[in-house]
Amino acid sequence: MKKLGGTIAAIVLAVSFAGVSSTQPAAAQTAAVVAPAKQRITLTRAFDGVWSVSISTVNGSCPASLRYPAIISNGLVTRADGEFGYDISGAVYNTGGIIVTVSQNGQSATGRGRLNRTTGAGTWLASTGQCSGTWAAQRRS
Amino acid sequence: MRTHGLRGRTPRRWRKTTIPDPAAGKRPEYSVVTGVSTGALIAPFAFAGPRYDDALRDAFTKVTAADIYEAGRSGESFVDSWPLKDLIAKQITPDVLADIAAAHNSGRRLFVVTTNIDAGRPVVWNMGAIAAHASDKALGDAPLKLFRNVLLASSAIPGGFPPVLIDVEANGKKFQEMHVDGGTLDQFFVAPASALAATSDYKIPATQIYAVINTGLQPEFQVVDRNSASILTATVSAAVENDTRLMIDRVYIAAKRNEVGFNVATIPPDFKAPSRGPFDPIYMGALYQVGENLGKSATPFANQPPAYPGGPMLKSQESEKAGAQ
Repeated sequence: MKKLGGTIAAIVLAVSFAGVSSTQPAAAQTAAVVAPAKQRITLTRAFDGVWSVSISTVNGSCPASLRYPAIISNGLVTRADGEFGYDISGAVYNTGGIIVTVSQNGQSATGRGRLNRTTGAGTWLASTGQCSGTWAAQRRS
Repeated sequence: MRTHGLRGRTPRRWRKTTIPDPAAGKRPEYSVVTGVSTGALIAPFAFAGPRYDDALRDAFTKVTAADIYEAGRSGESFVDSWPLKDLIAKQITPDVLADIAAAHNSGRRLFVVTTNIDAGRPVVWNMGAIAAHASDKALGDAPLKLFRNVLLASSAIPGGFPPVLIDVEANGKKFQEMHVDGGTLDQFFVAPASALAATSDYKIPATQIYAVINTGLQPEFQVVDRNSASILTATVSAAVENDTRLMIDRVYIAAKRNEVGFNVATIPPDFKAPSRGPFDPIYMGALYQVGENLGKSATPFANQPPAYPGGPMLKSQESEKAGAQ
């Protein structure tokens, strides 16, 4: 428990999906995106609810693992209610792809992955490149 | 009867068999196992026997922080412990409870300690008796739920994790007691405090006490971040370390008074594996290996409490220094 909550690194997860670059989170959160292929990619409410995301560091000295709650509402990802030292933002698309940003104390990371009905998984990379790993999500309600 | 103990928030065991050859990796079947805090999570497996050794090893080396808590401060705590509650539910199955009940019915005992903060007192739960009630169909799954809740409560670090409310009934009145980490009052359980008191004439029913200490006893300098969570965590860590030393001393004195053998194993001071935050599997794996190696060594236990680092020299040490000059 030493340093619990005191050294939790800021993490940004940006989850890619077919046809949408993970370098466009701002645009992705505010508008539907048309993929190069025929499928029209839009925000979806199919995954709206409370989710819990566990983050594991595979490479680097970032915390070995963390777990954050998140809320998806109208396809947009935000942090859950309560007092937190971090921020979450992102979006979920009708392909199941998701972009999530978790930030704390000016630090960040970027990831890729996908949601299905009750679970999700992907990878992430810190913005500094110092750490990377995997994430998994489970729907809580 | 011999008494075997695991330190701090780990199980303490009383045993009446001779110690098997440690180099063979075997361990005895303890007649009594006790657990406090995270030790409460290990105690059921240690009590249930070697067939659960793999589960015990996994519980120590594969569980991550994400398996224990979720970030997010509430009105009761800094984090939410629902992942730990789910983990306990997965680990403590009806089959595990049946094995514990069988051991209880054979005369062995499993105790877990929580702190009733409404009353400001420790509560020692007879977990074997709870498990034995699981076969009473009239009680439904109440014994299983109580067993799991006690384990969750025993490791609920106050302020860090939410307290656990346990339904009780007294004099016809129903009530919910608020329980938190058993380590709040004592880091490990050997006997009631009154029996360990310096003025007590209680005879501890054991011939040997074995204590295994699973918390670092060497203070480490680390600048504390200026936020409430870090300050509280650092404070609790320092208090636990100090309280553990006091408890070891207390048990040592009680053992001497009772002419009971005292044996203690601690984390070697030179163990310095880096840790990437709480419950880092790499760190925990390294620590587990150190414990396993120590257990298999010829002398896993010392017969007196570990020395305080940087403390004043003992008279014997002063004599040695004077003689050398």
